[in-house]
Amino acid sequence: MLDHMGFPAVDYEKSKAFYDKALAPLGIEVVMSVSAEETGGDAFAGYGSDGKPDFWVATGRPAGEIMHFHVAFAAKDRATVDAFYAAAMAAGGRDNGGPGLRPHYHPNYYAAFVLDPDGNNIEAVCHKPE
Amino acid sequence: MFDHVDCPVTDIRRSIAFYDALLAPLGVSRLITRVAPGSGGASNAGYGRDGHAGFWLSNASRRGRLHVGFSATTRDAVAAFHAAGLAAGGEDNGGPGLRPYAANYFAAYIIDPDGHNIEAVCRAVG
Repeated sequence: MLDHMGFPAVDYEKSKAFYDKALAPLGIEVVMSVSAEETGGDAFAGYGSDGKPDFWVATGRPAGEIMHFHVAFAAKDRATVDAFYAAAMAAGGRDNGGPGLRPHYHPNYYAAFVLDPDGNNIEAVCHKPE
Repeated sequence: MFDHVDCPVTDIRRSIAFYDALLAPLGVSRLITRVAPGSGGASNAGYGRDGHAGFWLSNASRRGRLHVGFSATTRDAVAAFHAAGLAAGGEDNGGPGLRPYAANYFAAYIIDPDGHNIEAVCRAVG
């Protein structure tokens, strides 16, 4: 259903450094970069797996804008959720709920939540039974 | 890659009416609705295909500029998405047409009531 998404970051380089590390355990990396010189406006970094950029971090967030979104990335197993959380915390993310089951969603909902440098709520989730 | 995305909106009822119309041409419908009575409380609505709610609206107090692209299976669906968005009060942000991002990248763009840039894209050969 979703093809891709993107958002403007307060500090593009800082956010890129964060997502480089946080998304690596999920097998997601920068697969396309477009500089401000190339666009004549904002710079973009597109993260994805298998060569398709799905998650875009951009420059150009307006000063004073405080908007937080939530995105969840699919993880293939629980160990990957754990690795995501550890990597994101090591990269300067803020804890928003450590790895564990959230049975109020469903019995095998295993997830971890981290706030990115802008305060966005970033999740990795595995729906499979252990 | 994504499991789900949650998009902050300032008026959940207004946005539900808007997204019901906007996403119908893409075969995406509202699967879950939790609207708190009155103006307070957490409210959200989950949209999806095939029973999985992958796109959520949630009440928030701030406007933002999130960009979300939905996949469309045909170029006609992209055009229908754009027309539905305009009819529902969305702002034109680029009509249906090919874009240079990739071969066969046929897309249209609508600004939703909160300023989010919502896209439908068909990557199939036209």
